[in-house]
Amino acid sequence: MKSAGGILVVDDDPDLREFLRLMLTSIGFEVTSAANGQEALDDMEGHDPDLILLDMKMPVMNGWEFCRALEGRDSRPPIVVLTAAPDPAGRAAEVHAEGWLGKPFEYADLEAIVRRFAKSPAR
Amino acid sequence: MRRPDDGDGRVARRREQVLFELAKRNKADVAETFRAITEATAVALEVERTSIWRLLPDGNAIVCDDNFVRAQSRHTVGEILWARDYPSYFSAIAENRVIAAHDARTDSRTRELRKAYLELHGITSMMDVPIWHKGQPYGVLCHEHVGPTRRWTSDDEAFAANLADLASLALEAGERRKAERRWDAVVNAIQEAVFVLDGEGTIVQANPLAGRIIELAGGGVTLAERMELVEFRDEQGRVIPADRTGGRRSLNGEIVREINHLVFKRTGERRSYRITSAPMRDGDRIHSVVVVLADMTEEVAFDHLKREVLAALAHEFKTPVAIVKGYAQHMSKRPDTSPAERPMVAAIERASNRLQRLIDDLVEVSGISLGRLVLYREPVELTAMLCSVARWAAPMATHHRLVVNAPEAVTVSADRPHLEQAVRRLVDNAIRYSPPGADVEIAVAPSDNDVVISVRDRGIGIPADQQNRIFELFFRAHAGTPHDVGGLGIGLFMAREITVRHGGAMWFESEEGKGSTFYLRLPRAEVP
Repeated sequence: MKSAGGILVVDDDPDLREFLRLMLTSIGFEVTSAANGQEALDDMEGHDPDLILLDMKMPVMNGWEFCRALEGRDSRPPIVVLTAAPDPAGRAAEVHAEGWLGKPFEYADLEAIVRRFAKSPAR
Repeated sequence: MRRPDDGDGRVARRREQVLFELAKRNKADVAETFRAITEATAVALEVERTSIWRLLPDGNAIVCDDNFVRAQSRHTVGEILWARDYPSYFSAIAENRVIAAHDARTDSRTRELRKAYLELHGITSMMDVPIWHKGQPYGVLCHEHVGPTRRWTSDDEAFAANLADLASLALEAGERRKAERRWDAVVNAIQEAVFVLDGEGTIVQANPLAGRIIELAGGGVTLAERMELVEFRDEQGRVIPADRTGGRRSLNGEIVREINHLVFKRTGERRSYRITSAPMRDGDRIHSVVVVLADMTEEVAFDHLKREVLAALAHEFKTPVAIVKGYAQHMSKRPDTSPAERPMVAAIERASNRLQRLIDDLVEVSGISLGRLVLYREPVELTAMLCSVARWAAPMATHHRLVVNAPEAVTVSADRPHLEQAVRRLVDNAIRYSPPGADVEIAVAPSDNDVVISVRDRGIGIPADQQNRIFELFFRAHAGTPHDVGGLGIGLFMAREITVRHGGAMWFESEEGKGSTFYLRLPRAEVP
């Protein structure tokens, strides 16, 4: 039986992963993290997150490849693309994501979009 | 002495033959042609000595360019006769008429030459014919007879005059050849490829560098061949059709200056050239086109690399800034952050915001200069937009009065975020470069075909000698002066690029110490 809920942060920058974990747990979310698309797929073997925060440019398996790997599945969690690219909305559209945040993002924007998709057990 | 016998016309035929031979020879080498003329006339007129003398510019002397002595079959040069020694002879020469001295030793025009010249060479009769060059007397063709005196006939005079004309032609041909050589030396030495195309677009002349391009292409002398072998692309990389190449457009009278990328199909090599082409006219008719190609391959590649690096660098800055800013914002919200720490956290957040704006500018400017600005047009109501700009500027303009002067609603078709950004840049500058308490007026003035947005300040103005560079990327008019308020020097560049991409134009009026007004004109057409 898979565990469910929480937010999966996929980003190759360990400091950014740690910041997102700290920030999101401080407002009551459960957070797991992965350094690239492959690690995220591995994590999702035993766990169905409510939301994936997805960086696009990563080693091993990037955001585009990760989304393609998810395409065959019956259902997938909503994805919010988190990117430093000049046109984050364009990147999000390319992978049919549910939302986007450009780096660097506003704390308030991050909180708002996360609350739209993920349940916070603490509240 | 045997006299020329014209009884059976042999002499006349021989003279005609001589003239014909001389007329058809290539006369570009002046000295050689002069030698041919003196020999021919010596033989045809049966004269012992024939020579060509050049009058010096001040008319004080004549210099012998070539002297042929028939008995010795030998050419000499270098003798000089001075006017001060032979004034009568020189006044006769100055009349620019034939001097036919049957008895040279007694003739009033030539007798002063007797001791020093005529007797020395055994000359008894002389005939001088003027040689003209470019409408001016050049010198004389001189015939000197040795032996019993000789009566020059009118046929002799006519023949000598014909040869003097040939000497004039030789001088002209020589001049032309000198000019051509000078021109060739220039064209061959310059670091650009120079082509001359005829009315059909066929290459009729090419300097060595141009020759190398033809070699690279593997041919391409005619326009059709060229289009087969080389693909012409414009600065944005779009293929240029045969009838829109620079050379072709210049055949229709246009002067073309642009960057083209040439793809040589044979090898796949791609090179970039700055192409300048201009029509060559003969009255109203364009008979050919000169096309100059300057190789810009390295510059274009480096420029592209520079902008790519800029874009990549900006991208790489974003994640670290996200972390700094994220923690700062997080800490400012935490209740356990101490009152002493709060201003520090706020400063970190402000600094990271500033860093973020710089990065955004760099990304934007590199995108625009790489041609990656895509406009998403929609109807934009300008009064509302200008009010939004004023609201955005209000926090920075605490000591300025912002006035929006928009009498009526005007709608244009534009990319709203980009257009707003262009106006923001103008307003931001107006505030930054004017003293506290001064007005900044934003106005919109519609007319039938377009609408002009203006931003006026009463600030420090732009020094006259800086004004023509004001829209250049990274140019800062006040850099290093007391008015230097920092920045990258990209605001006006971006504002104008955005305006131009909308089909509009941007310009300004400015007076140092009195302020500046920037104008942004947009076409009103195509509003859905």
